Amino acid sequence: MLRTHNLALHFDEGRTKALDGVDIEIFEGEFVAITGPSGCGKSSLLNLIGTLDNPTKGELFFCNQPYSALQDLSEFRREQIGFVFQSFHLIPTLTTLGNVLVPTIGRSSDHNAIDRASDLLKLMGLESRLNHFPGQLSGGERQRVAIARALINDPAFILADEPTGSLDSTNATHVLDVIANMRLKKSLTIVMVTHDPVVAAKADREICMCDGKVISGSRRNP
Amino acid sequence: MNLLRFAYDNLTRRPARTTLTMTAISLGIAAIVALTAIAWGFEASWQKANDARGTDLIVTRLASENTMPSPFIAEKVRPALVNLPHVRQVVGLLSEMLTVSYDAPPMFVFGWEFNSYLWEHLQLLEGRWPESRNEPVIVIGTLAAELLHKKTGDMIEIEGVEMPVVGIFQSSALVENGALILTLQLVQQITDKTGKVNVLNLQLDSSASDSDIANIKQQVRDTLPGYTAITSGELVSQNAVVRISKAMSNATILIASLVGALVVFNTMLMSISERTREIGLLLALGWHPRTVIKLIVSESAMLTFAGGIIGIILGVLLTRGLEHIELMRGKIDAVFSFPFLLGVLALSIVLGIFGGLYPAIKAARTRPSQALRQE
Ligand SMILES: Nc1ncnc2c1ncn2[C@@H]1O[C@H](COP(=O)(O)OP(=O)(O)OP(=O)(O)O)[C@@H](O)[C@H]1O
Ligand SMILES: [Mg+2]
Repeated sequence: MLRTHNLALHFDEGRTKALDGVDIEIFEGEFVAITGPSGCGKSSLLNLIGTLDNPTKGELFFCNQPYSALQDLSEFRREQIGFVFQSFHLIPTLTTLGNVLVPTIGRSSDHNAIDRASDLLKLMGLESRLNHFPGQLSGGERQRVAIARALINDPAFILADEPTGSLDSTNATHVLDVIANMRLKKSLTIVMVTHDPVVAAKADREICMCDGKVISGSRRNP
Repeated sequence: MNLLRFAYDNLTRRPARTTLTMTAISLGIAAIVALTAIAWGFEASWQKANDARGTDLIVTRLASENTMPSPFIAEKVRPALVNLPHVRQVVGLLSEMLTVSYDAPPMFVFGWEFNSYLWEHLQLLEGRWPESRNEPVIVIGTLAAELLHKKTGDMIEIEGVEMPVVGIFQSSALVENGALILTLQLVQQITDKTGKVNVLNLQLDSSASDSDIANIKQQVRDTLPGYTAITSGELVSQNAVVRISKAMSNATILIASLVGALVVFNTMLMSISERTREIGLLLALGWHPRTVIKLIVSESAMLTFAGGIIGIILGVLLTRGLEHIELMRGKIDAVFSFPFLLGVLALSIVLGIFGGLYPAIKAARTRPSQALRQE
């Protein structure tokens, strides 16, 4: 479903090589964890998969289509990708419901967005928090709002960058359970960056990185 | 959840900055509203005075750029006019702006030819009209009576000559209500301008058509070098005070618009740089860059729209206040037409769109990966 070919991402005119020849393949419905020391290029890889950055070299393929042939990146992000971040990135002035609806703003044809959002929040166990603001929620609740937001447009992937990095272990477990649950319900493909070996152990496969290169797990074991 | 609601929420999260920007915009719009309404009102009021008098054409010295057309000897010009086709009356008028009382602002003093049609449109409220061409008496408008604290029987001194007020009248034109009217001969004597007038008013018979009027104008041009015949509308729009006040209102529109656009520009630039991470997030969540532009432009247009509404209210109040200052009373009759106010509102929205456009485009170009890295 997703494949990269000799992917490189350089900064500062090539002095920093965040990614240096990455070849990985991710299959539909897989739960892949990306691990490795700080600064090894995990977030960079996730950004490239999510089209938030352009590779310096190499190519990515989605269902065998090269990314470089995509006409409208924002449409691709909206329809195929849901992002979850370590620091939640909720908008403080919007309620729980409002935050989940943000990806649908400006799309007048989307009529049942509110129903979808409330259903998702119910699945997240947040039905009593619809009109709370982020400042009134716990970390775990905030991350569940962010997951609902990532799912509002029924994406193919969830790209999560240390989604449990800011949570205590109880909340972290809860959030991981929610993600695992959603994965089954919605047949999602999940790519999750994590430092935590316990989290990585829950994944189908672990891609280990170091210094911008993949050192293990680039292909699914036969 | 729609875009406008989101834009509104974004404005209210920084109430101090939003209020400050709105205040700046509304002051600019208020200045535009007040000065423009006064400039137009000034013109309209003079126009009304001339229309009410039933004057069809006015003969003055050519190129008189003063606040009043410069005086000339009436008898040099009158003979050439009385025999023109359709001309019913040729009536001399001498107007002056004089200080009549030390505790009142300078006022219009009109000398009107005795027994002419000019007097006919005035409504006498009390007392009587002058009874001969050189009877030393004054009639005053209702507003002048109020400003000077005079009633019939009281004395008024003009240029050292004391005369009684014998009547108080009302006119549909504000300029006349604030004026003192004497016979033409009397004003000529008092101001040492014997035989002089600054305009000759022509009243035509009712059969005169537009082409007859054009014809008369042409004949005046041909037979009276140095003089011109114009309609009252033309006289008013050539009036130096009207022209200056219109120029001032145009300059105000220009400057206030520029300042207004710069103020929103600055505000929106500040606002987007504070929200870089959030804008990066919106793009990461699949917002089209066009939607980001719409959001920022909506915010700035809402800001100036609200500023515009407040500014219009302020401007109307400001003008009403100015009309009540002694110095200005009877001289401005501001016009607030609905299309004008609508135009001002449209202008304020346009300012918002222009001021917000560059910040919006800049925001839409945010690189989401970099923006999201910011902590
Ligand atoms: N905009 C940038 N300019 C310069 N260097 C950058 C930029 N973004 C990332 N880098 C560098 O690229 C390398 C990889 O960064 P990346 O964020 O992908 O690491 P990471 O594996 O996610 O680390 P962490 O676990 O700490 O989040 C780092 O050395 C980082 O300093
Ligand atoms: Mg990272």
